[in-house]
Amino acid sequence: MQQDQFGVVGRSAPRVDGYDKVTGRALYTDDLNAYGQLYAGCVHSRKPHATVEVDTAAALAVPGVVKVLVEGDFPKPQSRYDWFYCTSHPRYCGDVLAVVVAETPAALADGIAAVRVRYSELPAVFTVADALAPDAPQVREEGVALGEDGVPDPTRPGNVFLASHKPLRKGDLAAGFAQADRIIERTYTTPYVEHAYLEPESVLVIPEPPDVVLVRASSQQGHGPQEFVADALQIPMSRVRAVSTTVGGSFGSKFELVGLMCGRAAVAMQATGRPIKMTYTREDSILESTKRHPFTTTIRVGATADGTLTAYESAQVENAGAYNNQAPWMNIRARVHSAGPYDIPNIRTDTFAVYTNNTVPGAFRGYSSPQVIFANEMAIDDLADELGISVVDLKRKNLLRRGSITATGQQLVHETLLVQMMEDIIRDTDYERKCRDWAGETGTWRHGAGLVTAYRGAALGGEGVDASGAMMIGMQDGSFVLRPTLMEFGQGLNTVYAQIAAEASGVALADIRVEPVDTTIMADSGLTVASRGTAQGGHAVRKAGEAIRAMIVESARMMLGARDDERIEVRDSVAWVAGQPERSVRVSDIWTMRRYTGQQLSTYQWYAARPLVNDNDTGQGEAFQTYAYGCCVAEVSVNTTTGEVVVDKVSAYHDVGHALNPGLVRGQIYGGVLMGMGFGLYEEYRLEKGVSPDTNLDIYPIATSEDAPLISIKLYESADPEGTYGAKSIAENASEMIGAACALAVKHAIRRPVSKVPVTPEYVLELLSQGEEDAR
Amino acid sequence: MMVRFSVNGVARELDVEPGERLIDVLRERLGLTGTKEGCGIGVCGACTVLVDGRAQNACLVPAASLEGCAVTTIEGLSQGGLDPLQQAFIDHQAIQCGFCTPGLVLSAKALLDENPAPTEDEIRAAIKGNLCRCTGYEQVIAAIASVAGTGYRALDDEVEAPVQSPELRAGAGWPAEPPTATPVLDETKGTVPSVSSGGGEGR
Repeated sequence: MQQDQFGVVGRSAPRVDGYDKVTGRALYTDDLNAYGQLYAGCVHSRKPHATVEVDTAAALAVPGVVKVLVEGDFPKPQSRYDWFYCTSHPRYCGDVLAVVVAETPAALADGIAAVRVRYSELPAVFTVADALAPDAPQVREEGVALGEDGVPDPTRPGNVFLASHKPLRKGDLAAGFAQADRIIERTYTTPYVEHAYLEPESVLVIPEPPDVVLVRASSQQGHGPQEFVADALQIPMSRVRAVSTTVGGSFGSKFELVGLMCGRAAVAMQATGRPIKMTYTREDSILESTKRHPFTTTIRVGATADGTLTAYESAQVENAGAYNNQAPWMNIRARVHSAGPYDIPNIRTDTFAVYTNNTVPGAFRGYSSPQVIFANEMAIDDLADELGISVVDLKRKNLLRRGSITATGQQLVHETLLVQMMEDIIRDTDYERKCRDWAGETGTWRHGAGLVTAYRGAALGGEGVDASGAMMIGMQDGSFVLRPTLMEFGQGLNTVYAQIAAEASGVALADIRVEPVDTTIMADSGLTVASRGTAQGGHAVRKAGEAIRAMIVESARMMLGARDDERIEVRDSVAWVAGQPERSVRVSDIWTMRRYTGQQLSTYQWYAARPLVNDNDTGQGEAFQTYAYGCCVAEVSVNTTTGEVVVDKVSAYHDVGHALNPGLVRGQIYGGVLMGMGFGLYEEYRLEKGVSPDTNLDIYPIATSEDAPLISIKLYESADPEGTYGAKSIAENASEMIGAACALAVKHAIRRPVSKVPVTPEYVLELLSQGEEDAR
Repeated sequence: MMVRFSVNGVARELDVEPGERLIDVLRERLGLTGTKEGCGIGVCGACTVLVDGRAQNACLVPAASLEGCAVTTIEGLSQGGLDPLQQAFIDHQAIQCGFCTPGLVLSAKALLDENPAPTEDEIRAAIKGNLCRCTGYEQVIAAIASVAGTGYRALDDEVEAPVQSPELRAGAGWPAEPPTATPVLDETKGTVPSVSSGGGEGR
């Protein structure tokens, strides 16, 4: 099908939730209330490692306080996702020591303040280096040591999270380095980053007689709350019904913590027999929510004198915090992309996480890729400097093309636009001329440009099983309800799903209403993650639409008396005989007929992407069904007196396969650019011995409307058959390149090696104080 | 203490506590949950409402200070159908998760009521107290500028079509069903197609 054959996808249809959101009618979890509800909140550990005694007497004496729950009140204190509903042995500042339940929010605040905690502090470790030291205290019993060869040694105790280790082995590394004329080795680091969605976490748990628990929660996952509540109460999942609400942003984080809150609220519900609302303050949210994993990446890369890459070796080591539910899957992606979008014959990388007594990191837009791209692109740029050649020429020589073999040994068989996109972006931005002109600047303000090229496995790929379901139910008046299994949390998925369903079925977009994920209606098809919702999840919606279209065509043929060789067209809820528009029937009439003749009115479809095979010991195999390609140029001004960095312009070029809703795609990119700038230049969730000064949004900085640079977007569409109607991914792609591009631009502006993000003014001044680097 | 004020044109007389905030009155007592609490300290702007026409953070306004004031919340903006700003937010995809949207709309309303034709810098300044983590603000500014009729770069971007790859230009399309087995390379298609989309800034 070509673009002009599509009627609904490919257009910037308005959001299906736009009216509700712009009028304030959209109900987020904290906007919901249940009759007789109580308010619950948590007492968090203020010490990074301790055992505690909790004295609840003073809190229970506060008027309006109903209950104070401690570890012993929980049927199962440790959740199935590693960290605890409630514990008396906190392993980081943020572990929950008690849950207070009160009649009013004011009584709850007083009750939380009145809980007395006596800490007996225990030894703790905070940095990866400290945690890997030979005599370091062991954070978790399951931790293992790191062997001499840089690979975890399961036979000895330590702090390495064994299940997170993902090795990549390709070719002959020693031979590759032997061919190299130049070899560089560098270490790069990235920080903890706060998601800072605008809606703090909230859950509402309601007893539904006789024995069902209804959960409404600000969860990125429709089915997650069900799983946590059943786990916390130790009851069958069939007795827990989760119905999703409007979610105020997530970016990967509103999964485990929201699930834990659901579990805590459910235990409080059980203890009181009343509905429980638990809404976090921003301070609670920042303290306990997951963050982006900090990476320490050491790269050794070699090339021949003409810039041909011959060997690549790296260790990508993450701070896992005290608990971790994500690194084993995140590191599959981090492994696949560890050597960047380059055709390198010999690669050895090791990726693993290390337990510390720090905040718990989790999934965050990109799922390792901003960290990986930063280190990889800095190293490639540093290598070009070392070789004395232009990084553009180096990229021209080594970038992946159609037919190239990736780091995991997968041949790229679909259209691969990366080289051409780079040529477009350097031409459009005049990148090479600007780099030449700016290289000789001597004034207070210096300028620099940074070029990043990236590829990203589209959707879930080999990280897991990429399955999804969708139901479409028609009413006799011709209106339809669509029920997907993946979640809307701001990205616009429900709008795109409605478009896909309309395209596939022929039912008018306005006749399709998208309903929330309800665990009693739709089966669990896994997490809404990995930018898979449109590309792969859309296939289930497409199949549902196609099944409805088949019903429409079958009935229309009968009602219109069409012969078998006459084709039935369906569009905008009208079916007609091709070429004879006067022989038509409305879908509403068809569905009325079907209703009164006892025919099926609905469909439930399931889709699972073709399975991929990857070897866990080497990472070799087909890692993703396909890849999305991106290029970015950031242009900055740097004040050499104050260290201030101003981003003047960001150009972001993306091959999205097929832009099913270009307006929503642009929205992802605009937002992703600002989030990526924060990662590159100013966002860091600081931890000093496990304690953070960044308690609210007045201290932790996220971009305002005045921080936005000029943003130039170019979308590419390509002939890729894998995603729904050709769509690849965009949500994470939009953000992953920007931080690296900003850091490279600063490097070029001040002509100093940048080895960490964020590139803050303090860091810029520190680099400037180290003396001028030789001109490249 | 008793305070008399109006909310969305309706006169209210309430007995408020000394520490009670306007946001609590709106959300807990009047059921106007379109006003959101994002930080509780007046930096995120999600609770922005109009007090006598000026944009204020409802989490910082003591309810006791409202005597004689006229408060407008997001619910009050669409009483006779959508405000043009609300329609523009929908039309220009200026909404994602939507949690900041009521506050952004009301900050924009306060701006346009005072200055019907603001510059881009004036728009940016007017909404700088409304944090949004999703949109990057571009389509928000486009929506506001479209109502003001002042033009904005993101409005021009809306009409730019994606660049089509060589295979699409040559007539290839997107099959409904993806490959069911690992596809193999078609050598005849070459490795380095030319995409070049012309010069200029690409906008």
